[in-house]
Amino acid sequence: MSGVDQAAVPYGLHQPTLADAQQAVHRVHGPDGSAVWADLLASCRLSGRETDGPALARLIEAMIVADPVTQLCGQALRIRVATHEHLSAAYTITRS
Amino acid sequence: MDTASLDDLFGRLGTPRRMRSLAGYNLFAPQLAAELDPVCARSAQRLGAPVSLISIILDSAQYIIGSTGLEGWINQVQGMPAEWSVCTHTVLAGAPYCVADATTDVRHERNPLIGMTGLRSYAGVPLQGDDGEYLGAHCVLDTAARTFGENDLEVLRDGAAEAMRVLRERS
Repeated sequence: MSGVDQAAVPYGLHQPTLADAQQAVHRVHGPDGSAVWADLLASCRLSGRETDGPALARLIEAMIVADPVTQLCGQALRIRVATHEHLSAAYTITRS
Repeated sequence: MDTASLDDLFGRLGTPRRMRSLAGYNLFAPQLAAELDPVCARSAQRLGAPVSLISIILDSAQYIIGSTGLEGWINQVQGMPAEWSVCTHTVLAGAPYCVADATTDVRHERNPLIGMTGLRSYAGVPLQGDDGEYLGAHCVLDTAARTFGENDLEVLRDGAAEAMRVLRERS
């Protein structure tokens, strides 16, 4: 794997996306997933098609104050995002 | 781990039933770590291990709610991706799970956490809710290879029972 790939995907860990969040919300809520996802997007004024990190950060903030199951799902996403940031930064520092 | 395997893992961990069970506990209570860290310290001391954790396995990540001896990014993040967590194996097994030497254990030879942290041995017991769901695990970790026995697991079961008592008070 190249150096650029290692910084973007440290130890095979991809940066979480809004699509990952949508999949997670559907997974943990089952048949209610679509309604919960729509409410989350509305609460943070996102279309769901965004691909940038700040949009995901806004969504996670909304998840952390939503219903208890969504809070846990948001916490899992927060941990995955923070892990990616730490390991990506550490790789960049060791290579600079 | 490829995408299909991750989807399968997250699907097994993130069932609506299991997530509702986890949501029955106040896992974000401010004083939770202050009550659970001493449980970890006691297990680590009794087993002569440098690190002990009390964790919840969420749908895609390990969330550490009590610990002793933890350093670096895992301590800052309070967790790690579920696919790297040895405690995920304990939860999925629903039974004590031990690793004597992760560097030679085929179950963990592709886990990047082993190389990142120097982790070599692990013993964990599941935390089980009143509804039968496995919520997380109480474990010890060591950078030395070691074989854990029934007496070691009994220490961890004591710690897990104490952790569940604390969590029930917060449910």
